[in-house]
Amino acid sequence: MRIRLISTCVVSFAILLLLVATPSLAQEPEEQECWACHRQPNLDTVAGVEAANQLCLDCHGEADTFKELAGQKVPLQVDGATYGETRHGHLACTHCHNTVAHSPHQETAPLACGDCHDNLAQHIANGDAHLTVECSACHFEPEAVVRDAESGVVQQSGVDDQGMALDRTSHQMTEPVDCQRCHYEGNEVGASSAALPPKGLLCFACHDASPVLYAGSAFGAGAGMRTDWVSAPALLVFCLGLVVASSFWLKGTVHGKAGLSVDEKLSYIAGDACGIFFSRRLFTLLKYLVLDGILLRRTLRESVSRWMMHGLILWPFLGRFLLGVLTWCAASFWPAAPLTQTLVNKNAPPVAFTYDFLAFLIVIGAIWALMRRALDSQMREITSVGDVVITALLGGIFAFGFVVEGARLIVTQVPGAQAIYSFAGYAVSLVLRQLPIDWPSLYSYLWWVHAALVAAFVAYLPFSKFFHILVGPALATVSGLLREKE
Amino acid sequence: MSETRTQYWRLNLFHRFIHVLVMVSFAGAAVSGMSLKFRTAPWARVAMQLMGGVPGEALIHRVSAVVIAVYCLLHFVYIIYYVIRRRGSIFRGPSMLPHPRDVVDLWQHLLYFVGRRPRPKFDRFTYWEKFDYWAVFWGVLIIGLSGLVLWFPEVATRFLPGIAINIAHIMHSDEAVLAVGFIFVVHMFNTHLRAEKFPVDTSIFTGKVSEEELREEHALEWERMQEDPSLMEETRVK
Amino acid sequence: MGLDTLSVKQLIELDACTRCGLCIEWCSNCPEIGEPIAWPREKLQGLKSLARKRFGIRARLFGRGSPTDEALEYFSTSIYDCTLCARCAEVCPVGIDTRSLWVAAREEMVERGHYPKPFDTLRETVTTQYNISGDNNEERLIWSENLEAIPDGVKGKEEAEIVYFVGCTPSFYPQTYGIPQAAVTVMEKAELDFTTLGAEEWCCGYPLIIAGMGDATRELVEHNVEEVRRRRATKLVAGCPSCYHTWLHEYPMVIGEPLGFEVVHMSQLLEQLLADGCLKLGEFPRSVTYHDPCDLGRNSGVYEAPRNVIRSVPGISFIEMKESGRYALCCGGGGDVAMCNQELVEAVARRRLQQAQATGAQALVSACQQCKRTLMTAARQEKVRMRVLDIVELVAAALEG
Repeated sequence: MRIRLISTCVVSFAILLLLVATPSLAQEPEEQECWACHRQPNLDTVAGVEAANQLCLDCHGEADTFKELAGQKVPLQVDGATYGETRHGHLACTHCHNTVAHSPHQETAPLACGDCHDNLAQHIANGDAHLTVECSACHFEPEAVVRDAESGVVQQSGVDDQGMALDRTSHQMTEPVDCQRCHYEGNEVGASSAALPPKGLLCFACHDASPVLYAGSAFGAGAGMRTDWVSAPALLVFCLGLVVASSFWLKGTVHGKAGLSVDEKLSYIAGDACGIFFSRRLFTLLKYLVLDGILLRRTLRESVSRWMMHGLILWPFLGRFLLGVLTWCAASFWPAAPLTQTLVNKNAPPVAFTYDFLAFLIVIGAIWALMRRALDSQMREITSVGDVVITALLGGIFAFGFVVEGARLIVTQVPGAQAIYSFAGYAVSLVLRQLPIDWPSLYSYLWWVHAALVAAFVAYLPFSKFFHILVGPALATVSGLLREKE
Repeated sequence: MSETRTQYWRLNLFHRFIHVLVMVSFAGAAVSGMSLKFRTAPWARVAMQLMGGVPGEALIHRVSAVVIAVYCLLHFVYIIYYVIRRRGSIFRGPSMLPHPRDVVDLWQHLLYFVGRRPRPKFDRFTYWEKFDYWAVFWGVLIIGLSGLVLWFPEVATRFLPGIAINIAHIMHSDEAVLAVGFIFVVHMFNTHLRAEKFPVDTSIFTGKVSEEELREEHALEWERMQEDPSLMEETRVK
Repeated sequence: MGLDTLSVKQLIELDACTRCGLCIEWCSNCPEIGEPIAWPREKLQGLKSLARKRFGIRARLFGRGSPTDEALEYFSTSIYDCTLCARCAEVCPVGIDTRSLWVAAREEMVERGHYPKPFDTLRETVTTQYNISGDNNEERLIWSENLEAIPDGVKGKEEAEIVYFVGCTPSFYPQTYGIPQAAVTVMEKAELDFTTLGAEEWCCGYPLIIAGMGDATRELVEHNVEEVRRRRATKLVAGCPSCYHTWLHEYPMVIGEPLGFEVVHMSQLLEQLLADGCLKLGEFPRSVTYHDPCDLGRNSGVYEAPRNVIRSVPGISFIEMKESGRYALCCGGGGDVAMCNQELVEAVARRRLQQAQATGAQALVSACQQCKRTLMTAARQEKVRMRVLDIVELVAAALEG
């Protein structure tokens, strides 16, 4: 009896064991084949990354892994150890190549750099033409780049200029980024022939730029053209002009008292300022700033046509400035937002149209003003040489602005259907196209002329009648405040 | 500000100018430094972008540091000038140096808050104003010197051990947090939020203080002025 | 005086001029002169040039420059050929207070000795005879001799609630005697406790102030204030807007303290009396138009009081001129221009008269004796049948009974 019980138990246990063990023993070779690829290691851990990469390196670590491209063998071998020492060495292959983990085993989309990197603002500063440049085109080896005819996107080229397939397996980043990869005379990707500085503080008044002064050295080699030589001197002279003007103004009396030292005058002025800014009178100040300083209420009262004419110059200018500030804020705070993507793209229809329209309005206003001066004999008499110089400078800035825009549309090969939204620039580009000029070569110089004119204007401003741009609204505000006090 | 109330000069142009430098450089150094110390925070990334990226932040921080060094030097020169040329004393009476009386004043002031003592009589610089000054003095020294070590590590490590860099890092950033906290809580309260001062204590900008304020907050100085009519006449705003 | 008294704000104003020329379009005098010399813009740039030569950076580095005598003469002419109507200040888009700049410029010209010679006589007369005509100041109440009954207030009281400050013009120029006559009639009718200062009324100093000789007025100011205070008056009524403006704005600054009594213009007093029902007016079926005196309107902000007075006259028909209120054209009589350029005064007055005629009104009412004088003279010269009245004369004429 007992033997039967024991042997039954033993046999059942053995069968049970076999039943349990066999499937796993049987599955392991099968499972290993599936799980070899179809598994999800935890990519947030070092061990997980290693495991995932090991999978890829099973094939890609071999010397005979290649693909065919135009009858040539393109090597696809990646050395795991070398990769591990690159900037991205701590990441799994599928972090960036996130469309390959399926069958057929081919990349269907560009690298997912934007999943981690959010440097839109820095790239906007460098000119939004870089929005249509893939990250790898600048940041990885090899150096050959090409512009895709359909999408207009600049990307790494699979072949060099002799048509030989390139080995693109190096995961080393190019540091620092060398602008001359694209920006050289006769390039085929539609880049200007020289790399230009990012739009900085001087440009901030009218354009989408950053309120920073750019020094070429911060961006490494090839800094020649990229150093902003004009902004700092211009702003320095401008500040000097402000100092000269202030020293003149501070010669006046304060609070009706004569014989005060500068110290005492500053003291009274500071006291008055505190009294306004830290009280309800601040709102009165703002009211006069808006009504008289910006909306030009006093001018409207006397003459509608003068108000219109001056308004056509002032308000679009303010509009451009505010748009630029908005874009800068959007790029800084919400770089990934769709609105930001639109705002930073100069060629996006609403943006292109708005900037051109506002500039066009300014030109209308300026022409109106000039005609008035030229046709009215009384106005002719009161116009001095200095007035003509500074107005010509301003006109030159605008004229050149449109020429530069036209050239840009040509050089960056913006398709006509999109370019037409920058209607003024487009019209100019149509004319420019007819001229036998190599625009990609000339474009950089045109850009610099425009920048130089702006620099000259800004530097000269405190010494010219255009100082009224700053002093006028300030005085209108203060005199309104004083009149209300009475 | 009524024209008929008498006012007295308290801070001259040099003082006011230095304070402007302090304000600007402190703001610059604090914003740039905090964005670096708390770089993983979301606001820090935005601040970095606004300053022109890491290179921009570094520039602003170092420029602010240079301004701090400049005003520090100017301040020392002024003290020497004050002592020698103006024959001022930094020890007696209207002095910024701490004094045992300041501790007594603090205690008495606290008791005054709970109604147990009358308001103490302060001299030219109250104990909290002295603390404000010495906190900045100490802060600039600590943060400045550790900052120099961090800025020029190769030079510093020629005569300091390597661990000095790590120590400097901690000293610099922790003291900075303390400084920012102090300014925004204590200093701002004293100059903006105190009932007598709200909305702003203008004397650091105008250099003038009203007779009322002198009598109430700097009673000992007022007494000294009354005993010396020429001093009173000299400092009175005409 | 002059450049040294320009305030920080005024120096900023010199830099704020946008050279837009609106001031030239609206200047009362420019159309008559027709040359750049009269343009406010020219005057401002001239003043700026003077200020730069004194305070500018080049002046401080290389020594103060000095303009040529010719330049100073040119500038002086442009500065003094101006009625100080302040239309330029009213229309300036950036709010430059040009009138104050012109007065400061005149002070500078006086210091440099480049001013019309008649002003020397004026200064002498005003500071020694205490009036602008040079007549004996004891005769100051001569206008009252034709009154049927001379009120106590005119004989002179030791104390009274109101001091009626007559002004030099109606005291010594017969064309305008009617104004104080009407004024005292009205005040008597309203049973006000008033007095004049009689021979103790000295010129308020305005003609000297605007000639750039304000530093000579101290004695006048102190005397007049003392006289009013001695009579323990609580209100001073000025018949002349220039006196009114001077009392209200200049006097407290000169004596360095508040006056201690209220200062009003006659039109404001009349408005108050009519509103309180102290005066009963009868039917006055005439059409009138109103000319805003520059010193009452633009310079003092009193536009509505005279208009309210006119409108409260029963049966009256009131028509506004084309350029009225803040944009009122000057009559030509101000700015001491009558002392050195009578032609300019007459030319401007003629233009203003034409505007009045264009309304078709029977009478032209103003609130300033100088305006009345100037416009009456122009009407006579142009043989225009239009009565020119002061506001108080209108009220007196409309009084019942």
